[in-house]
Amino acid sequence: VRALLSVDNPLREGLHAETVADPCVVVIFGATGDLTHRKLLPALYDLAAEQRLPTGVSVVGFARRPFTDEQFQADAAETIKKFARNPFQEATLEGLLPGIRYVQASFDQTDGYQQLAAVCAELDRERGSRGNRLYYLATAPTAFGVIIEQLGRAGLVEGRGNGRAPGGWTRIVVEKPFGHDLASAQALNEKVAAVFQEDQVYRIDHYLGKDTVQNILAFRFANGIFESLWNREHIDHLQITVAETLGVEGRGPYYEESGALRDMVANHMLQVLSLVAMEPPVALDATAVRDEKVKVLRAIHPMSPAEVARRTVRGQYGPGAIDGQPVPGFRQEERVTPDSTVETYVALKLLVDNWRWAGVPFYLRHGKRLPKRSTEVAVQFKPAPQLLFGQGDSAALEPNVLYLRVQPNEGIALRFGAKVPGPGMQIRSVMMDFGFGTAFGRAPADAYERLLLDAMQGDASLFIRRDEAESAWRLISSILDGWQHQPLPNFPNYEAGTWGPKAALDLLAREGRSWARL
Amino acid sequence: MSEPFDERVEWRDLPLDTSTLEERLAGCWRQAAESVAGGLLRASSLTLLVPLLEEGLRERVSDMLAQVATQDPCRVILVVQAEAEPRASLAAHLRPASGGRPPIYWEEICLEAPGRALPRALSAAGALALPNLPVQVWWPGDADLAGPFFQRVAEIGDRIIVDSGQFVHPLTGLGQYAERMEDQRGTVSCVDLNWRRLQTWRILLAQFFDAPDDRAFLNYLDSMVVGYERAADGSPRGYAQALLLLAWLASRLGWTVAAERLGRSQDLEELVFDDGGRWVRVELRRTVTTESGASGLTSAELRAMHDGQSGIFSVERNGWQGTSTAQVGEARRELVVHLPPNSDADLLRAELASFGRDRIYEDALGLIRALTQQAATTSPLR
Repeated sequence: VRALLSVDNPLREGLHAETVADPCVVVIFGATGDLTHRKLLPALYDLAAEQRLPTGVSVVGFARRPFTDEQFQADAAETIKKFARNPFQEATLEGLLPGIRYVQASFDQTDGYQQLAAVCAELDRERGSRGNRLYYLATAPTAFGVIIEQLGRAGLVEGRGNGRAPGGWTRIVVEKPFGHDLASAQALNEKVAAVFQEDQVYRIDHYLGKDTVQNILAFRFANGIFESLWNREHIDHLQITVAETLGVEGRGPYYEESGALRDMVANHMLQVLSLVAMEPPVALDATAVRDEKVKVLRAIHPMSPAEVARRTVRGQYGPGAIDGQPVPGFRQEERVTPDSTVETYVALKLLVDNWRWAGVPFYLRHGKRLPKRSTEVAVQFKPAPQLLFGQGDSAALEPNVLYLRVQPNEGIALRFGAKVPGPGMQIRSVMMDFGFGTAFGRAPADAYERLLLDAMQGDASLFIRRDEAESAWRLISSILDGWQHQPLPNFPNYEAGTWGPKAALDLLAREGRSWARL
Repeated sequence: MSEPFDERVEWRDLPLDTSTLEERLAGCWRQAAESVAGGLLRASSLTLLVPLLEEGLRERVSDMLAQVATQDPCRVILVVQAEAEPRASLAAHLRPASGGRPPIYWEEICLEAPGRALPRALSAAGALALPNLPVQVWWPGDADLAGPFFQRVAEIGDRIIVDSGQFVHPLTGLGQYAERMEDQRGTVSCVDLNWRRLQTWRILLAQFFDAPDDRAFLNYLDSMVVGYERAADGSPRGYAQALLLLAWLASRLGWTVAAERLGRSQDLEELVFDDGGRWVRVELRRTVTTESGASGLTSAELRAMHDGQSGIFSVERNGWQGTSTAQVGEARRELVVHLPPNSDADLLRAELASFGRDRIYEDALGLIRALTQQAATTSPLR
């Protein structure tokens, strides 16, 4: 008798998901909302279509709207047809539908949770999910607390995150924002911790599910040639840009509560920064990867008000033009107060105070209504130590820059100097360019597919740990506090369709640098 | 600006001369670059070498290549056995940009030669393979795996992709493939589209034993019954799949081929395996004759007895749907499952994407080789 069999399933070896997801019941709170329709249900379908879901996965929608099981199934079928990435196949849907149920209740309604328990138990019996539960909070953040309390009170949180206890595992996926400052993030985390163990909690930032963001890890740690250059000896500075051409698209009330700093920098951009700056993890597992990421975030010290004044710029767009079309200013957008003081642009200079990065600035900028949509990391290297070529011959010589393009035109490019053919020694910058789209013809999976499957498999590597979330908020809160001590800029201070306020250009110009051309 | 670059540009009746062919292709791409605003960004990830020795496969192969190359932009080199004197043709292809995806470019070189001149065409193919990139060989149709031409092709490739579903004699063919694989000593990896067709079946069977309680039954399996179709046109794909499924399970569980072979009729083959001193009885049953060549597995059932409880684990296919049933003691769980028929192009695409050796397949082939050795001593091979 093979002793190994008591631990691992030998038939799983070599199959595309060796660490296989257990059959489970996915309970979606906010099942009639936009996130469920546009992302979660299509992602589950796409996983099923590519045979990445284990048989026996069920989905229970939990929301206030009065649906029957059949109505929710019909609603799910419609949204899948509309938003799924894979071509629609009736047979795939028919495999999913028997496991789709609905519980109609408001989030604070105790008997709704009793009903949920009964439905899940029935699904366990019918579909072999053995008590495994994945709760997904696809609701407004204001509902997080009450749902978590009710789950605890109803006895619906058993087992552990990764345990193989007879009662199965229980995990919860929490959508961002995880609070709106350090105090509220800590309060939310306390509520979560009162009911769930940390290894059961999956704080989701869909940016981490993007192939191109994960490629930052692959680029750094699957290639031998770059890591030796990845430090203060060779790198002059780094820039992380998330530029959007869109405005607030009807999300005015939400945006006025958050602003550019909370909406983009506090999560997506600091996550990208931590992947770019982290030390090599000892393993590609949740603990090792997140240990290294959190060290980076802890090495970025909160700013004093004086530092905030010196190292941050905020802006708000006024009327202008995008792609040749006139667009309103932020204060003229629908559902935005006419004297709003919320920032739609932010530029920061951050310092990662550790041995690798001491003295190397990380410049971050994010804005709405900028001329181009682009997310990229630009790593500018120090110039060659000695200029062999006369200035006249190399007037156009620029420093080497490595561009990690997250979207669009996903890929990697390296700028370097090359000799222009002909007499003399004239040097010109050229680009060596790798495009995901030209090298790999297949379309990438949606970030939610990867993250949902990871949560089912108990792999939290691409989710945010409590200390990461709080470290990020510690920095962001210091900036928010600093802004309270400063006079408000004269908003609007940049025209829609331009690259932000002049002060953002000055932030780099006074250090002899400039923003990357996008 | 030059004329716009068409979606396909081709030249025919060129001499089989590698310098001429490279010059023509380079000229074509230069012209294309001038016609594309902002220049042309082109990438290749591999060379795909396709020997075409059977008549009647050309159209199917062209269709598949068109689908595959849009995912893995590459240089395709076809080596075609033809009546005419050696000659070549070239084609440059473009899939236009759409849905935010950039355009994809790939190129196709066709080297035609009569049988006696095939080594010359093959030497040109070797010279035309893109430098510093892997060469994958896709061998459509049946293959003379023991012949010298296959050996020459294997020397050029880093990886060989066959389709045992096209083998006229699956057991013999798979056994020979196992031998060729051993000859290469790991320098060339050997894979099989028919193995990839089995992936859903392997997943469904593996899932029965993910739960630790049920996993124990794997130690006590006493029978396996695999049902397969044999198409009316004689395609033996179903039989090859049944063999591979059996070989996979046996190799994963460490079964060895028992000396005894129970029997064989047209519709039933009975075998015995040794699981560390316990006998496991296996039946390969031909259950249906399909109209088309798209034959495959129809069912797989495993039975075991452990701790006084019986366990029956089965998957049955009915069209694209199937039923997965686990019955342990009195408890029965039945689920509807999806068994989609992957197109051959999908299978090839997936195979090209997972570059490398497939140790699980190699283990299964090793077991089939043992079966062929046993069959050689007991009865005529299929």
